[in-house]
Amino acid sequence: MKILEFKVLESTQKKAFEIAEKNFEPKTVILTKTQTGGIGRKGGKEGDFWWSPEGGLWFSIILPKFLPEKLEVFTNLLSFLIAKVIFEETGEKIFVKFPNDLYFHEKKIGGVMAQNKICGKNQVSVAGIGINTNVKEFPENLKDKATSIFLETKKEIDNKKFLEKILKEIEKILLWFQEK
Amino acid sequence: MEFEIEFNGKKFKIKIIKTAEGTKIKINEKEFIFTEKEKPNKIFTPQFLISKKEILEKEKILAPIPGELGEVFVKEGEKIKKGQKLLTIFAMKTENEILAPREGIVEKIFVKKGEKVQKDQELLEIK
Repeated sequence: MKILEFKVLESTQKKAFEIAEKNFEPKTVILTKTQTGGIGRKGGKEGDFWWSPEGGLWFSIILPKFLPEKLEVFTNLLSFLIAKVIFEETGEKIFVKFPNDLYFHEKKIGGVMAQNKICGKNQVSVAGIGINTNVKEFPENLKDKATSIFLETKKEIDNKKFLEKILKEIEKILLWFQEK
Repeated sequence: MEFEIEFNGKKFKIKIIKTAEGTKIKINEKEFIFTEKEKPNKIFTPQFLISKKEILEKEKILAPIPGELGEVFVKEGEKIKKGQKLLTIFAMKTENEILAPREGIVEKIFVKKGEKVQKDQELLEIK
């Protein structure tokens, strides 16, 4: 997959759509060190942004074209896939709160989402993934709700290798979903 | 001169004949005579000469996926541009943004925020 790396973005989702609308190249990954307005549970509405400081893994993928129903299933599988990779890396079991939240014990450690823009027969789909890998601290309002792999295991994750592993897994499941 | 053309799946037999009255053009069964001095008293515009915009009819936008209707961003009677955001449908954690396939006017909105919609359910109509 092609990886486009940024230092700061408002949202990797927004950037991915901007890029896809200019030049649709599926399997392009938009990676950033920090997000100032990462889209969270309510799609970024009501000030609900995903806390995305340096240290975490924040990225979006421009997906190949497949049916909207399949996109929904793909997004759900993505949560399990990331839980699997975290388990392989840390030996810790991750709880998937269906359909798309990842929990370490009682606290949120990551999440996935997908957005689809449909204009007649044209469609652009982007999946977004946020994992609190090496996030060292959380603001007061999130301290009881969120955690990171680092805070729980005291081990620093190599974000680059971690991303490569996730992308490899995503490549595998994309093969099942792509239209023939 | 006689020839046949096919446009949008329809066949048109066209015959052009020079007569004493002027130029006679026969399109399928309809005849038109054009003279140099007089304007033709009948103007027939074959379907294939009408601009695409004129032949566009009402178009219903259907739900591509079942889910819950999020925001509706347009109102009935509103002029819309191609690519303008019309509404969103949430399915699991997937947000589906439905954009206008062409410019036009929102004729009718069949759904409202929070409503559960089925796949292929009519969402709105544009003309």
